[in-house]
Amino acid sequence: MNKKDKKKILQKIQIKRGLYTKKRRIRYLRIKHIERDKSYSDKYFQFLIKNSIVKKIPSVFSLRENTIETIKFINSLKELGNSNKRIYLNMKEVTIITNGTIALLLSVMNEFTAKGREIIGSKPKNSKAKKILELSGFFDYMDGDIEYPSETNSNTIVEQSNKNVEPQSTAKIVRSAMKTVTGVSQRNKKLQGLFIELMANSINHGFPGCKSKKWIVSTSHYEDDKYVSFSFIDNGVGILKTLNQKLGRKLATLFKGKHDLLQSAFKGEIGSRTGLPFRGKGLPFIQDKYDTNRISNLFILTNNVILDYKNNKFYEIRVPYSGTFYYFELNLNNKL
Amino acid sequence: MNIEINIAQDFSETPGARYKTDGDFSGQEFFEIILEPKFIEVQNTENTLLINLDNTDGYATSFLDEAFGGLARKYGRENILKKIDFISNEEPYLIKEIKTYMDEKRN
Repeated sequence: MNKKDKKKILQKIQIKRGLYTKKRRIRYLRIKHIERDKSYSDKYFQFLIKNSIVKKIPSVFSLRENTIETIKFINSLKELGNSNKRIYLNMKEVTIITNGTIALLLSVMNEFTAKGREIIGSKPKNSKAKKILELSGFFDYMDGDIEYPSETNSNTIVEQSNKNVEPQSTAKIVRSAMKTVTGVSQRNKKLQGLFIELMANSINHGFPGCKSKKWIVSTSHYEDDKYVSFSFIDNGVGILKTLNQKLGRKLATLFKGKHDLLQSAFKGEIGSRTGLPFRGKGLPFIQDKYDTNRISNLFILTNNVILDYKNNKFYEIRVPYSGTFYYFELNLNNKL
Repeated sequence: MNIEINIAQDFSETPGARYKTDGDFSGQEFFEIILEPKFIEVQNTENTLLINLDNTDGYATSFLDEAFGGLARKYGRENILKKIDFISNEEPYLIKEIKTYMDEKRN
């Protein structure tokens, strides 16, 4: 073997060794990276929590089942509006959570994220609550870290708008809802009309003298049970406050409490009961859709009044809520 | 002769709310750019204005009130009803509803 051949063989060996070493090195680095990343992320998350305002979500986070505590929590979250600190939503102990309440929480969170505030969160230990949260798509809308990634895909669509009535957006929501309920993507004129009324009410009455107007629609599709639930939320002043401003204190006393006043507004009876030429058709249009079986399970919360049509309960609560929250469903039993 | 306004084709399949400030395709916008000009066009002729309400995604009361109630408030209910006819095969009750908006006076 001459010197040239020896050199060639040595070069080949070195290249092979080099390649082998490179492969091993890459594999080693990859494993190290993954391990380091995992511990780093846990530590990092703990660090984030330490430097956040911690808000623990009530274990029963539902407007129907735990009204007062749920509203108290939402109000306490709203009160953080002026703070610049990161918010940590501790959901570990949550056992019951509903889509409507998730949408409500999301509406408040949106106000924070719009101001550039970071929100981080942990997921419930309870598997059912965790699944509902994951299906709701809630974590997709968080502008910050979440403890663990989602295991299921969202069945919820969230539409939100600044300032405007957006009939095209809701027309898509309606067609998609009709597809889940009937199997065919099609129009539902009454439902579309209802959405326009909700948006118009929110934009025109919810935010007097305020430039920042916003509404949110959250739609959850339950394909197996063929129904869709909707939540419509605005964080404005609320319907009662608007009504009181229009009627004045004297006329407001003609009603047997705030729930009676609100019910009258939804029935379209304010004009006849006060003698005032009251033009509002939007609210009666909304109740009419429930009365004529175009929608089901209508639930309205505004200021400190709840109109729970499903359970035929209309009452005042002791905790005020600023804004208006609607929940309703569309199913095969409705007039479609 | 009839002059037809087909709202879905000539204006929008997704009519909106009352005012232009509310957002796209409002009753006010429809009134200003289509309904009133067409009404003026037929007002002093033998022609009738035929308004087709079908094939949209749906109407809000505020849209109908602003457009048709607004026309009646400006030109008088009887003058309007002499010159306007409606087609609403998908939601026949809309015609009655529109006529009630024409009766109402704005405060």
